[in-house]
Amino acid sequence: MKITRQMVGFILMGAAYLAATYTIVRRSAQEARTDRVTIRFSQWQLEGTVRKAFDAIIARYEQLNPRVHVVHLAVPDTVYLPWIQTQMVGGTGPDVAEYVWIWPDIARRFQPLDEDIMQPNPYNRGTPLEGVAWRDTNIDGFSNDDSYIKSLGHYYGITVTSHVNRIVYNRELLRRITGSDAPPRTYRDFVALCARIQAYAKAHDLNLVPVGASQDTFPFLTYMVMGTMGAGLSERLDVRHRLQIYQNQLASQYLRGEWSFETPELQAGLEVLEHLGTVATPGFVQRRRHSALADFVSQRTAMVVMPSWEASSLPLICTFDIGAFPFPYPLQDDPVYGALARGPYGEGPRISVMGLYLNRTTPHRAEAIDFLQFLTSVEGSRIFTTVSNWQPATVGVKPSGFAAQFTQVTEGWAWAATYIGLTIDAEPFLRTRFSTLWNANGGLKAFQREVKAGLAARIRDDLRREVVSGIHNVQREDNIAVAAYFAAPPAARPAKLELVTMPNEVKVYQFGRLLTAPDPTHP
Amino acid sequence: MRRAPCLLLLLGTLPLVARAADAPTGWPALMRLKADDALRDFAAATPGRETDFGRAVALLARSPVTPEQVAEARGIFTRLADSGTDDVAQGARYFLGRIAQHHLETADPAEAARQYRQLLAEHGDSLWAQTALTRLALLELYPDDPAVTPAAAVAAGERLLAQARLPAAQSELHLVLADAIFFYRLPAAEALPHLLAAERLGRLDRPTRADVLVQIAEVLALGGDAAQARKFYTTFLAEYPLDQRNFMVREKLAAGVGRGR
Repeated sequence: MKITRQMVGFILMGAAYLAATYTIVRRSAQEARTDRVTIRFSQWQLEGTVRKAFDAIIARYEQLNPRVHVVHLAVPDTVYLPWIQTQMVGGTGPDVAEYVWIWPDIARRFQPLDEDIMQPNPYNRGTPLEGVAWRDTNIDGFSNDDSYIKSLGHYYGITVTSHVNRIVYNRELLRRITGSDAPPRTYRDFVALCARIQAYAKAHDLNLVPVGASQDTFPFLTYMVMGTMGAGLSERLDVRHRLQIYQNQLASQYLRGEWSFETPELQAGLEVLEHLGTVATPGFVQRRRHSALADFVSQRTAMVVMPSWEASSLPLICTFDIGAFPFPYPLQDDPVYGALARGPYGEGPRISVMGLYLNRTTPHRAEAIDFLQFLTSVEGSRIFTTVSNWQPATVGVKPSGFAAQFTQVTEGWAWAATYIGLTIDAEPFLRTRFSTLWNANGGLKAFQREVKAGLAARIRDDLRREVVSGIHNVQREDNIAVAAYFAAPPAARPAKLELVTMPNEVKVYQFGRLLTAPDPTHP
Repeated sequence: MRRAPCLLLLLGTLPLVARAADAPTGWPALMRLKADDALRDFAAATPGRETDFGRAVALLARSPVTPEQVAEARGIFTRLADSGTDDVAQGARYFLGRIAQHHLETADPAEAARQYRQLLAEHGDSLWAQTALTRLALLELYPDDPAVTPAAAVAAGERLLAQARLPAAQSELHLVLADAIFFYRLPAAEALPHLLAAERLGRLDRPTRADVLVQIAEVLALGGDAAQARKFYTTFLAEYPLDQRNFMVREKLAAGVGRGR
């Protein structure tokens, strides 16, 4: 019998059908097992090492808890938000879901974990964290934005990792050019190194530039440089004396005319960034992160700006030894910027990320909490960092050998202020202005002019939205609090109505007042 | 035999009693933000003041909230507030303030303040009045009238402290006052008594307590009281070993509190 092209098509189709049927039947059978509970867990970190890490954690967890089956749903980040929202609205959401504090409907879709995190994590028995409240086993005590939702006044997210941004470099190339593979220690060393790489490239007629960057990664540098070099300004702006400044507070202080991008510390930061533009891949503002990665792997750049989550895959694709160093900010001994410096600097606030939230309607609350406890236990966290090469977020757990190069420097001055990530619309406005800073026809003055012309209006729009959302929060939480009060038997009614937190209601008034005040940035 | 009719009557009412006890109320649905379900459940519940109150609350929660719904809820709350002194009447008065403050298309702070003041005058010690107190303070602290100076606004807010009876209300009010002092850029030292009082009351949630300890220490240091500042810095370090501000606080202690950086 002659096998025709048509027959091959039908055979392939049949095989695909059989494979699909088998998969569905197998999964249905798994879920139909009555001797165990199935919980579903979704996240969007598709880096191979991270998926493998979660799979390894699940395998170990199921070994310890044969009664529970955990289904890992890895969903691409490009569709994750609409996907999770659709699932939650449709009542088919996973029991545990990765979510972000600025996304909508947290109170409606997820449940607070205030009481759970005060209990010790049972999986930490026999470790130094035995008996320690779950909250205190996290590197930031779950004080990060994803865990403690300030506007709701409750703990929601269990965070599992942390990230920093680093300059990753090609050790072999550096050795060839400078005779040493030691990273630069000071800002002036860094400037000199970049000049040396440029000279080397010219002398050898190489397509080589000092620093690779992209539209995805340069914001990390701008955040770091502006936030760090703005430390002295942050200290002056801390009018609430909390030793930290929230971004929307900075935004409102901009509207009051208390700072601008002409303020000396920020001007210095912009000058440092302007120089970085001259030593980075031409046109990097238009390029995507995979282009920057390809340039580095192909040795067309000696260094590359990289967040730790992306760097985890570098050992798999680089044919040369790599190292990583934090950007060497100008310190007090810098001949140009020393007077403005407030070092030593830490690498921003110590915060953990990747918040995992508990579905408000999960029928398997106990199992889901138990899984989260294992995931963030000493053992679970060790598996996570070893397999993923990402940072652990559990106290005392050492990062894997590779991840250790990306361990956050916490011993230093660090204000939670970046001056770029101000508010929702102000941030992209500022980010897009950097193309002017790095444009041959633009520069620092042009950047400052553009920002001055447009930033206040963006902040006003954002604060207006914050006022509206603040009022909605007040309305919603009023209703929930009163319902909780009357739902309790009269003798057991709470002594306090759990309304929206006062800072959330206060901001309605404070922002509202700023919005009606004259604009000092445009007298 | 004469007892038989009574017994029969009693037996006859048993289903009614049972139904009243099991009658659905809309509160659980409202707690889950299911306003439509709550309205349905309240409609099926035993008629009464609490059921009417619940229906009005559900009307404020059902999306989209229309001006007609708000007006209907307002009508119900007014009737309930003016016809009793129970929990429901007080809750209704509180909501009349809330509607004027946050639910109308154009807020009516004067009406909100009037409702809160009435609640405080009639039931000063109650949960509802004490909850309303800080909401009233916000209206005093951030008045619409630009002629009111920041100092006068804060002074008006501080006068409300005399009416704060429950520790939760006292704590909340002190925090709101301290924050207003910072917001208006009044001398930081004026916030200190409020921060100290809030800390002493011991009702702060964990993240807020961390902020307050740092604030007290910083303001004390600013005023030159190094010994007291050191005490609060040290308490902060002991209670919040993982807080990102640890390095900064340790540096301040090492440099000698009060001397700045």
